[in-house]
Amino acid sequence: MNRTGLFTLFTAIIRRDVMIAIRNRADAANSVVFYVIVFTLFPLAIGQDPTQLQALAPGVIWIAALLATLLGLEGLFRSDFDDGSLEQLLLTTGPVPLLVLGKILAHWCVTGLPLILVTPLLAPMMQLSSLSTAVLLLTLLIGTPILSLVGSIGTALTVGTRRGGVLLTLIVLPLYIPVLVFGSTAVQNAGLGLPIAGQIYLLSAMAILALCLTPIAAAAAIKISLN
Amino acid sequence: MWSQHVLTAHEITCIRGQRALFTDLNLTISAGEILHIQGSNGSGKTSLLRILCGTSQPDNGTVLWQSEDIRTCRSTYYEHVAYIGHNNGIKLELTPSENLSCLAAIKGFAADSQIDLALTQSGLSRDRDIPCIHLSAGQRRRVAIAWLFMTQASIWILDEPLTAIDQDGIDIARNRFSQHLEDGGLIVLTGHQHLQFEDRKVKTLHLST
Repeated sequence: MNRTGLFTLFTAIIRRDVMIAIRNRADAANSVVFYVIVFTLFPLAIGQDPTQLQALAPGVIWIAALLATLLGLEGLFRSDFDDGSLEQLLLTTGPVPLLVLGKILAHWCVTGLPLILVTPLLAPMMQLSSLSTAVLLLTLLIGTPILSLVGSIGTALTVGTRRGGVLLTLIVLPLYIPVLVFGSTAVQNAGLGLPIAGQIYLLSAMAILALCLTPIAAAAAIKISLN
Repeated sequence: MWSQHVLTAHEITCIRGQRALFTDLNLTISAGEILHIQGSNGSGKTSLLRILCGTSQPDNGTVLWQSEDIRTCRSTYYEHVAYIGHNNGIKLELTPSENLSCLAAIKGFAADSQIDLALTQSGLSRDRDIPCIHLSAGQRRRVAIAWLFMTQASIWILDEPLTAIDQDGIDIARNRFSQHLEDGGLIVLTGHQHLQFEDRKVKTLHLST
């Protein structure tokens, strides 16, 4: 057998997880279905008053995206833990944080990316202008990976416990609040014609920070959980 | 092939809850040796294997690979370790050949050319493209065993490798073990089967509760 490089290792783990998610569509669709349901129920419950919907939309959409991510988060390491492949991931010569990052990105591709793809179709229901929709997509594109990355630490810590769901929410939710605040205010500002650069910069900074640090923390947490 | 390889456990202690499973346990396995860990359920066989793998830390003592602590030489050590746990470590959504391909890729190898041979040798050639979810427990175990026909690792740490496997599968696995020992490999395994190799002495370790 020939040794392969780190980049091949990274793409291999992404390919593996995406392939598994495609075979297991129902699980992966859970988050996006939840998101679509919340998105469609709000206009029905609140009524068709455009100004009211426009005012509520940024917060509502961001909360829906946040909860949808949280819903899918537990599946990140769960099945690998149950069938013993998480142990095999640790028993490799390659860097574990790289494998973890691959898993998180694959997970985001199947749970986070679909949220962004359906958003433009749903945005008119919330009476969002095209500018607000564009800003919303941008914030989701930067923000949902942060949610997945930060959430991976909580998932890794709780994967060893049988009913980790509540614990996971308690650990992760406080860390999600900055993303929620900056994400929704950026969309609000766009609707009011105010500058949004500050929020976008801050979100981007958080994304880079999370990208660099969370895989290391999650890898360490997995080792603790498996011990 | 691996004549210099030695795995040593030095005074390891494992405590689970209030109970000490084993204290100050010493063991040495050198090239060409097989260690069969025996003991009743809950006596700490799996815990010992996991400690030897480094996935679980002993409460005291060290595991040495070539006289170096495995915690300090993680990546060189794992280059030489093949572990089959209590769970098979295979994904039920994937077919046997996809599973082996993914496992090799994760371990940092490109090994697609060897998969067919490994599956044939472990008696899975007919099932290579059936998702593992449709396979029986014994067939799934064989997928895990098939990895042993591909790996270049010298140390095999196997947790009840022969569970759920039929007589034919046991013979296949035993022949493979025998060949590995011939090559100078090391095997540590648990299991309730009686293991015998014609020309080789099986070391046994009894864990008492």
